[in-house]
Amino acid sequence: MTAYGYLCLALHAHLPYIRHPEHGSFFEERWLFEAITESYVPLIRMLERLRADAVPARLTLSLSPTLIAMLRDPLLQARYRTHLDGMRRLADRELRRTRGDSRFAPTALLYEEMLDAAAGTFDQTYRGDLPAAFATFADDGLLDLITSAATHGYLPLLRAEPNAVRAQVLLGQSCFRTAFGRPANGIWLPECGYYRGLETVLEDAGFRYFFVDSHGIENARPRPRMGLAAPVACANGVVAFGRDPDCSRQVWSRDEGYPGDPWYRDFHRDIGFDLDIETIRPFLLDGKTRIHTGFKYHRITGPGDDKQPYNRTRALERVRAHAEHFVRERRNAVVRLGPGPGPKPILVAPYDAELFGHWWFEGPQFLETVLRLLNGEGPIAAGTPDDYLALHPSLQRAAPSPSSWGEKGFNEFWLNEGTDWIYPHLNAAARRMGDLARHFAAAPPDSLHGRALRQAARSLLLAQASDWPFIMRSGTSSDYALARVRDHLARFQYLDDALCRDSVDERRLQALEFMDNPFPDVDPSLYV
Amino acid sequence: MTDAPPLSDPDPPAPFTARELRDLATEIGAAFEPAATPTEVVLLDVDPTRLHAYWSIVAADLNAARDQLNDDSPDLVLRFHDVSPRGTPGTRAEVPFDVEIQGRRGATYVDLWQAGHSYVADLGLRGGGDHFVLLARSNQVDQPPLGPSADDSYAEIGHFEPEIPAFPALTIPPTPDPSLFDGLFPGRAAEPPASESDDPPESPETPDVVEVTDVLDVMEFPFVTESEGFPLIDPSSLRPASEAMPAGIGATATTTVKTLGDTPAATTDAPPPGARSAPGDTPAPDAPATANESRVPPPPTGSVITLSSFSLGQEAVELEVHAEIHVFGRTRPGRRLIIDGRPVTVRPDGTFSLRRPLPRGAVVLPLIVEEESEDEWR
Repeated sequence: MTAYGYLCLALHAHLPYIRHPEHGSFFEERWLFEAITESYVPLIRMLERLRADAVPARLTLSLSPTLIAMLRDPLLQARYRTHLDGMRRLADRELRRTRGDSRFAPTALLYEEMLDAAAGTFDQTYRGDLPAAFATFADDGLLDLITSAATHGYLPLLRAEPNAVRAQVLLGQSCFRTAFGRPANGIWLPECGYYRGLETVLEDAGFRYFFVDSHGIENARPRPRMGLAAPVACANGVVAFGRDPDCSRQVWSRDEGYPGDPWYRDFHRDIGFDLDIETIRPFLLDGKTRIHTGFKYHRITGPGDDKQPYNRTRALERVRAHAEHFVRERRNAVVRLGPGPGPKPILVAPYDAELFGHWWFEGPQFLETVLRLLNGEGPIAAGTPDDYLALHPSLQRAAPSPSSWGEKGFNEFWLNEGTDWIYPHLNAAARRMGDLARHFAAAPPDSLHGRALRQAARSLLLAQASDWPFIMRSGTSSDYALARVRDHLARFQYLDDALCRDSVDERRLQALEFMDNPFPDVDPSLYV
Repeated sequence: MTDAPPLSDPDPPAPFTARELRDLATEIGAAFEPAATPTEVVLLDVDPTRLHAYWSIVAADLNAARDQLNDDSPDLVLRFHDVSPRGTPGTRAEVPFDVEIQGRRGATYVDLWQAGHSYVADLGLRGGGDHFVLLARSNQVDQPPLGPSADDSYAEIGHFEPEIPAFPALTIPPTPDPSLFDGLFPGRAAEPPASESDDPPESPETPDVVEVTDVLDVMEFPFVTESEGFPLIDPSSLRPASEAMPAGIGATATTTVKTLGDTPAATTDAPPPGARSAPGDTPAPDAPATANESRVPPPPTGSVITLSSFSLGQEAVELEVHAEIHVFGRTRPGRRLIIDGRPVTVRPDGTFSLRRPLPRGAVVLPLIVEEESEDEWR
């Protein structure tokens, strides 16, 4: 790395653990299927192209433990294939329906090609194992893979029971190591939620660095000399990288962000709502409730419902313009900052991976163009936190400020009058889990007691996901989120009771193990 | 003695069906009861100037605490201690402040007057003469700062180079016999089994297994009666419009203002809204840094403050006081509540709360409780 400064593009790929074998199909499982088709496979294909062209791209990708578990789950893999078959049948029908219509036929063809590519990448190239696909890019030097807490628990609000935080973090590292054969150097704190002292747990788990929102660095103590342009090291040497607000605004902002460009594809106009119900009925889960199918033929155009047909050529022109603008702005920023006597500047641009492709249809092309532009001669280069730390063996010591990347920057999005009822239950269950782990410490792992103990830990972990209060607060699918919290707490309580009464029913335990099956190697002693 | 006949192989267990899994999930979910909790208080930071506290009290602990007080009607309070380290920006409150609470289980939000400080709360009973009996002490909560640190000292440190961490040894994964689940979805995994074909189609938005309201309706919550300390709302207890405001609310604001009026010029912070000043004659915290500049005459000492927000000034003291009503309680889950014409969210465990500015004059909050009966809300 010889540039003046670096751009760290970091993507966080995460979905809550949603797997319902007790149903033939389940609406919320489509979140995973849509993310595979629209975000993860396009990301893999982008990396394949960059590798083929020998572009020295450097990208940081966080894969959450729940996402890794779902991507490797045979039931969900099979269901994804079924989903993809249905989508390809729909694509075939859409090609026939739009044949001869110059406004929509090119877009229908685009979808067919996208679905064919998804099928080829998923099944033929990687045999359904997308984590293994990402591992190959890490081996080839294009990616630094990192991970997150086990079920994406929002750590600042779990810390009343320190072992709950400890289990989330250590199990996250353990899952990563099991999946990839090596520990992750970095951790994506769920929702970038940080509190003072968390770095001690991160150190225990072997993490070198984490990301915080801008004010986590700006308000650090003492004041960071380089502001957001350089990471800081906590007292124990674990490093915090801060989000660059300009990078965020230009991509995330609803008003100023690139994804709102009028030439980009509109997310909301979908044939699931536009077509006659009889036409679309075979592709509805229950045959009657309209859903987003993913077939969207219009561009954003502007405010209002009057949308123009999508024009892929014009959209890709805008991608090029936006990527050039993005890189130019970053170049200007590092030129303003350096070169200087201190550490080289690094601009950290963290995003949800699902933004690219699922929400912002042209996002993968934007990302690829940015990475190709960074390959040229110039003052800025793509880099990862590990690259940066290799160049800078010492950093300014400072204590980051408690923060999150949620609305208002702190804990309110997960702790408010609609969600505060959760935490007494979660904390009580975590405390109870510690009691159980101590009491049944001698139980052999494959005994009924040992299995019930691990299953209780899984139930607790699944109840702790930050996604449930997030969804409740967002107001989308809030009944589902509420039911998930309640069901996992109920299963924990059932297992607790069965253990204490020495009445573990093996068949019921088998059923729970089958329904809630992530983290086969969860170690209950994490709670002791 | 003859040998026992050889045991025949037991019948293999029957495979699971999707319906069996669903039934089990529903049964366990329906049996959920909030766990009994010890006497405790927990603090969580919401943002730099707001924190959340929840507590629970075992009845025996409460009775024992009452026995230690020579007071017929002690106050249940959270007593907050500022435990910020020396040198923390702002003014460290040298004395604790109290927030009155009600009920053996509950939660509240506390608005603070400065960011970046650390607090611990004592849950206890306060009797006459400021005698205080401790029930439980909370965790420490560190409120984030609102702005950059004034400390611009510089030191470097080598970053953490992890060794391969010592992970717990991998345990044997639970491996329920896979053959038990083979029959769940023959062929393509997503296709429902033939035996399930009678099932009604599943709604994409509200899958049948997670009918929240159905489950809540049959949940048996361990209600506590009013005599046990938790305030169940009884519609017949509503006060008529002409009746005076209950003394507790006005008294809180009055005490706050009276004490602040006596604040020495050297201390300039105000306690958070809803908080009482330090007990006894101990010095009060200081005024807020963002005090309103406008000057209005102070109210007569001892008068009841009935404005939701006002400011007043004296030579050396500027104050801004925000008074709020915080209504909270618990009802049976599934009921609807309308307080003062506004629907109030009843949380899944039956608790509810409402915050609103304290209006001028008497406070009457009409409360309507609706319950579903024979498909009608009454």
